[in-house]
Amino acid sequence: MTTDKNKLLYDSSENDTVSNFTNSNLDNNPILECKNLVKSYANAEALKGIDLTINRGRIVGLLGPNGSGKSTIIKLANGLLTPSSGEILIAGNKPGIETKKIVSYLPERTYLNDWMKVSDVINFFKDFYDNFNAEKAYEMLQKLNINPNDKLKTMSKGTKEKVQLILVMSREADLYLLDEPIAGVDPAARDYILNTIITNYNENATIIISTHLISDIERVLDDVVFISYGKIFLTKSVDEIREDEGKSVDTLFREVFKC
Amino acid sequence: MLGKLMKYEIKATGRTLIPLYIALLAFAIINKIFIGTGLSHKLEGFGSIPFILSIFAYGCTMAAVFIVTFFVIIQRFYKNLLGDEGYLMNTLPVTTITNITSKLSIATFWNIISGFIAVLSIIIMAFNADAFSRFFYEFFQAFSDGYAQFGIQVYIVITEVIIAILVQLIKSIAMIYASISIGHLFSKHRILSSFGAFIVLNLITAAISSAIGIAFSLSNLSTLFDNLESSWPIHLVLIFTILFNLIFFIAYFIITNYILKNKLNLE
Repeated sequence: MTTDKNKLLYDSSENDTVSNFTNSNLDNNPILECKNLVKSYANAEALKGIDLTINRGRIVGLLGPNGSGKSTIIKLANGLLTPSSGEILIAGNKPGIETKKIVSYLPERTYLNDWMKVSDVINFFKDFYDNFNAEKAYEMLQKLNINPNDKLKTMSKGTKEKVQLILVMSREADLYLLDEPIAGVDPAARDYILNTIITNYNENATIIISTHLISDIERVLDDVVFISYGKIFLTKSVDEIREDEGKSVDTLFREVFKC
Repeated sequence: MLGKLMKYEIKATGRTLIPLYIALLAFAIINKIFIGTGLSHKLEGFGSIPFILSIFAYGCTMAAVFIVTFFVIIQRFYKNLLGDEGYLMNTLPVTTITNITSKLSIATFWNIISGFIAVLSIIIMAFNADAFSRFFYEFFQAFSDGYAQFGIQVYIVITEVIIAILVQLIKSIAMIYASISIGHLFSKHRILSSFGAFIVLNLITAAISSAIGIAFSLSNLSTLFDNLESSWPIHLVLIFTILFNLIFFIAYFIITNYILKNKLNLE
C-alpha cells in the first residue's frame, strides 16, 4: 500500500457523486487545513510535516497508535501548542478568538475545577460560549443519571469524562475535536455517547475523533485518517476502505500498525 | 468577557481567602475579649494557656493570610492558565490580554483586601474608645496643620503615595506572571526556570534603578533637595517612582502576553 499523503481528503470533484448541488447557506471552504505542519518537542519530532484537509459535514476518525501525534494535531488546532513550522487553519483562520468560538474541544484530561458543581460548570459554559445549549446539557445529564447538583470532587473519573463530553457536545459548534472521548467510559454509556455524537450535530459540522478504540466508533465514521510517527499514513473514506480493501477499518488498522 | 472572567476568578479565589479573613477577625475578637475584660492579667500559670494559644493562633492566621494570598496569586496563574485547567481557559473565546487582566486585577484586589483585613484585626484588638478618639483627633489635627502650612499639596502628596504603592503592587504581580511565563518557554524544569527568571528579572530591575539612582546623584539635580521649603522635589520623586514602576509593569505585562499568546505549549 502506498501512502497518499498530500492528497486532499475528499476533494468534492473526486467522490462527491451524490450531487453537485450547492447550498448557498453551506460554507464550502475546508474546516481544518494543515500545511506542512511540524511540531517538535525538546527531544523528538512529534509531527513531521503534516498536510491534511478536512471538509465540513464529516465525521472523521483520527487513528493511530499511542504517541503517533494525534493529540498534538488536536492541541495545535486549539492553540494550546505553537507549531514549530507550517500552519494550521480552522475555517481559514489561525487558532485565535474567532476559531475558539466555533471549535468545541474535548481534551484527554480533566480540566474542570473539582470544587464546582455540574450546574456551576454549565453556567460557566453558558457565560462564555454563545453557542452553548444548556437545555441539551441538562437533558443528557438526566439520561446518564448524573445529578447536576453533585460536585465534581465526588465523581468517578468516568463520570467526570461523561460530564466533559456532555458539555462539549452541548455546544452548537462547527468543529468538534474529541481527543479520546470514550476511553474511560463504560460500554453502555459509550453507545449512548456515540449516538449522541451522531444525532446531535448539525450536518454542516465536522467531528474529529481521535482514538485507538476503533471497533467501537467505526460505525459512526465517514472518513479515517491514519497517522503514524508524526506522518499521515492514509486518508480514506470508510466506504472506500470497505470497497477497495474488503476490510473493516479495525482490521486494516491492525494490519497497518502490526507490531 | 472580562467581567465574567473576573467573577469566576473571585469565586475561585474567595473560597480560600474569605474563610481565612473570617478566622483572623475571629481570633482578633477573642483576643480582644481576653484583653478587654482584663482576664489576661488575672489568669496565672496554666490558666493563661487559652490566652497564649489564642494569641498564637492569631499570629499564625495573620501569617497565613499573607502567605496564602501570595500563593493564590502564583497558583491561579500557573495552574489555571498553564496547568490542566489551561485546557479550558485557553480555549475560551477571550483574548490572552483579557485572561491576564482578570488574573492581575483580582490578585491586586485580594492583596489590598488582605492588607485591609490585617489592619482591621489590629484595630479590633487595640480598640479603646478614649485612645481612639484621641488618635483620630490627632490624626485630623495633623492633616489640618499640614493643610494650613502647605495647602492642597498635602493631599496631592498623599494621593501620589497611594498611587505609588498600587503601581508597585501591580508591578510585583506582573513580575511574578512574567517569570512564570518565561519559565514556560523551557521544555523541561519549568518551575525551576521560573524561579531563575524571577531572580534575573529582579537583578535587571535593581540594576536599572540603581543606575538611574547613581546618575541622579551625580547630576546637579540633587541640589534641588536642599531647598526644603518647596514641596515639588517630593512630587518629583513620587511621580518618577510611579513612572519607573509603570514602565516595568508594562514591560512585564507585554512579556507575559506575548508568551501566552505566541509561545503557549501546554504539556
